[in-house]
Amino acid sequence: MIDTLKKRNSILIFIILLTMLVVLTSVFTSHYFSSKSEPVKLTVKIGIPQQLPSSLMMVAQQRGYFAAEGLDVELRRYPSGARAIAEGLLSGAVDYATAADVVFAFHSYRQTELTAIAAISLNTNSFVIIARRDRGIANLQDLKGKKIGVQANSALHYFFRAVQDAQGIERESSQLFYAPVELLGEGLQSGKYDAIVTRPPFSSEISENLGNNSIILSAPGVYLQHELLMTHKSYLHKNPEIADRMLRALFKAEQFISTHPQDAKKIVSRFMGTEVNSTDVQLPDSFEYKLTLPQTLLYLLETQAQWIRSDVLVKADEPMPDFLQHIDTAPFKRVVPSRVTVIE
Amino acid sequence: MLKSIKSILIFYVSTLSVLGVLFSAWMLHQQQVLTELRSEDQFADQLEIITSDLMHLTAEQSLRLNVRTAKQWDSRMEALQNLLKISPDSLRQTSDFIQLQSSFFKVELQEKKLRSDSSLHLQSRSMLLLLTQMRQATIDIHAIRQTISAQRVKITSLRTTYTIVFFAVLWLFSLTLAALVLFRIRRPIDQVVAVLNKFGEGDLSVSVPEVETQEIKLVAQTISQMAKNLSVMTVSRNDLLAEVARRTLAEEKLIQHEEQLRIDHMQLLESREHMIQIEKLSSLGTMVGGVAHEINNPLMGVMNYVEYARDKAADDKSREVLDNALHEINRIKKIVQNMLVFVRGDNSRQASCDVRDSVNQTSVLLEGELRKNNVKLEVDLPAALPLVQCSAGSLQQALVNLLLNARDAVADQKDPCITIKVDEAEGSVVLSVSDNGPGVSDEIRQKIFDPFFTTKPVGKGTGLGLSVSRQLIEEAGGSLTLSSEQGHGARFSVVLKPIKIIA
Repeated sequence: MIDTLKKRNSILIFIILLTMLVVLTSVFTSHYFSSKSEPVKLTVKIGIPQQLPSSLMMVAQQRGYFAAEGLDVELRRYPSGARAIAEGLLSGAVDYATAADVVFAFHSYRQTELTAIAAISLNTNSFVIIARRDRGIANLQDLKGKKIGVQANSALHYFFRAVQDAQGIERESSQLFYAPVELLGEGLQSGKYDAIVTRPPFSSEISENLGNNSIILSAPGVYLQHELLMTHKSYLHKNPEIADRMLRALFKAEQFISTHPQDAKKIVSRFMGTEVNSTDVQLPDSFEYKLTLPQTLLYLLETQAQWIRSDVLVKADEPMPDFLQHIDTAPFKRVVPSRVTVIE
Repeated sequence: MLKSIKSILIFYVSTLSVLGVLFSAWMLHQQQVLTELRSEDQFADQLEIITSDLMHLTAEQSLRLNVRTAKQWDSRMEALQNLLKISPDSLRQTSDFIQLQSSFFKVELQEKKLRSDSSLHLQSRSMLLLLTQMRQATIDIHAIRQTISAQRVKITSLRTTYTIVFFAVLWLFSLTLAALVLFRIRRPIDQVVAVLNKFGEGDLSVSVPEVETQEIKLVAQTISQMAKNLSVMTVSRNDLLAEVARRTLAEEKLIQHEEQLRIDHMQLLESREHMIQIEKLSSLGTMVGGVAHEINNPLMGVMNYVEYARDKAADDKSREVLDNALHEINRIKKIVQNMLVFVRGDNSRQASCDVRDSVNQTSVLLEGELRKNNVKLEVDLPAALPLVQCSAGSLQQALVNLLLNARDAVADQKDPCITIKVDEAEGSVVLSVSDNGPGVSDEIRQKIFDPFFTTKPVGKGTGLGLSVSRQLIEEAGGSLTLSSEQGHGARFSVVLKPIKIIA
């Protein structure tokens, strides 16, 4: 009788332990699989200029880093960053856009909603001035009194002014003609302009078309250009997860470019539609494909904002933008906090 | 002191416990100090970051003093003030920390002055002073960090040293404990075990040595007492064992005597049975002799009457019938005479007989018996034979026994047959009685001439026939032997000496 009771108790204890084991296992596995399961797919449209400073975006898209982070990214290409902001981001065609800091500084005067969350590249020598030799231009000083073609309110515009300042050339000594960057080459070749301010991927083609009559003038270091990733504040606040995932993907792209530069060059050249060995897609030393958000950016943006106002691109009484209000460090701090040096 | 296992254990456990508790408490305290130092370190890290920010902003202000830089400066200064408010207690009273607070205070004042400076010249001077104050603050933080680092190194070093010392003490204690266990416990136990081994070998005279450890001493004393008791018990046990052995021997003898008595009793019973059997045979012989004698006399009268009647018979038929009757009477007469001869048994060495007659007479005697059992009797006699040294009665008696045995032996054969053959060989007359029975096995052949040995069912045979026959033949100076093979019949040979006739 006692033996039978003991046997029953043993069976009962065994069943209880087995049940607990099954429950714990199911809880653990459900938790494990839920934590390991694919994140919810989020869709985002990004407008990028078809140029080298956007290389991180191109690599992240082509290498599938966005997809790996659960982002369904639609990259929309624009001839320039200024167009990506004006036609893409501000018109609502895209959710994010990348453009040079100058473009960001320009729009910050009126677009209070505009906010930058990171710089995706830094370069000091991406712009050139292509001039016609037959107009007597042999160096930068010869640009005085010449007709210069440039895209208005763009980094090219700011670069030319910085060159003038650096060369001690009076701003008014040159006559500026404004046109979209992709149309400047035609103006130069037709003789409408004596010189144009341009950049890859247009520079090499324009130079070739002009042949021996062209002269390429560069001014390394006069313009420390940050390519900024920007969006609307309201969109960022509504979709913080998209920003985080995008930054994580871009960080992977940064590491890929660092460790596989030749493969990265192939991706960028394919994206830009140029030959791999073209000078347009060289990844020169002056380019740094790195995610940053430095304190110096504030100073540079303020400098650019001052130029914008001084060059009468905005009204003189327009208040200087508070760029601290136009930079959101939160997403970047969540992803790679050590890269954020903006003082808040 | 430490003369018992209990006291040894108490001493060591308590000492080690005290040491362990003290060491653990000290280590815990040091751990707390280290935690505080880590906290101070983290505090210093925060200070360094804010100071670095302020340095950067100072540099920026030297280039551009605007709302944004002022805002950032104020934000950082506020963060600094908040951080100083939650500074670790251990740092607050140190001179380095007081110096640092003073430096930051001066930095704050200087920066406010910078903002209020109206001319570029004044701003430049204020900027230089601000940079100097910032540098002083940086040096103060560095001093704090150095102090913290030195304390950490000191504590870490102390922890290492104390840990080594603690384990060294632990090791020494272990050694002394091992020595005590060896000398106070192990060695006395070995001594006691050695004595116990002696006891086990039966040597109870060995005395248990004196030991100091109380518990083992108690054990030793108990063992001594046990040994004494065991000695007494061993003596009693030996006596008991001797008594048991003696009684066992006596019992065995008793059993042997009893067995002998039983055998003797059985032999006695058998002898008595033999005597009864012999007595019966003797009475039977006497009765047979008497009956034969009584039959013989009237038979002679009957014979005379029949002869008379035959002589007086008128016709041939009657004579023929009476001749047949006479023939049968003669036959009865022979049987009776044979019975008389058989019963008288005169077998002296002087007696002689004709083997041929004896064979014929015996054949006649048993003719009916053999016929009744369908046994064929073949007789092979030579034409002439010398007389042999044996009475006719003895020879007939022996022959009757041999034939009756042969009859029984062939009872189960398909064609039972007995052959009597007489020959002369090597100066003797050999009479053999052979049968086609199953033969005699070696085992039976060994005993077949023993008195009272029989293979027949109880009541069927006496076991005396062959024994008596051999005795009769041997008394006559002859011999009776058996030759047989299992499955090939048996042959009894009677060898008799012929009578020597003196010319």
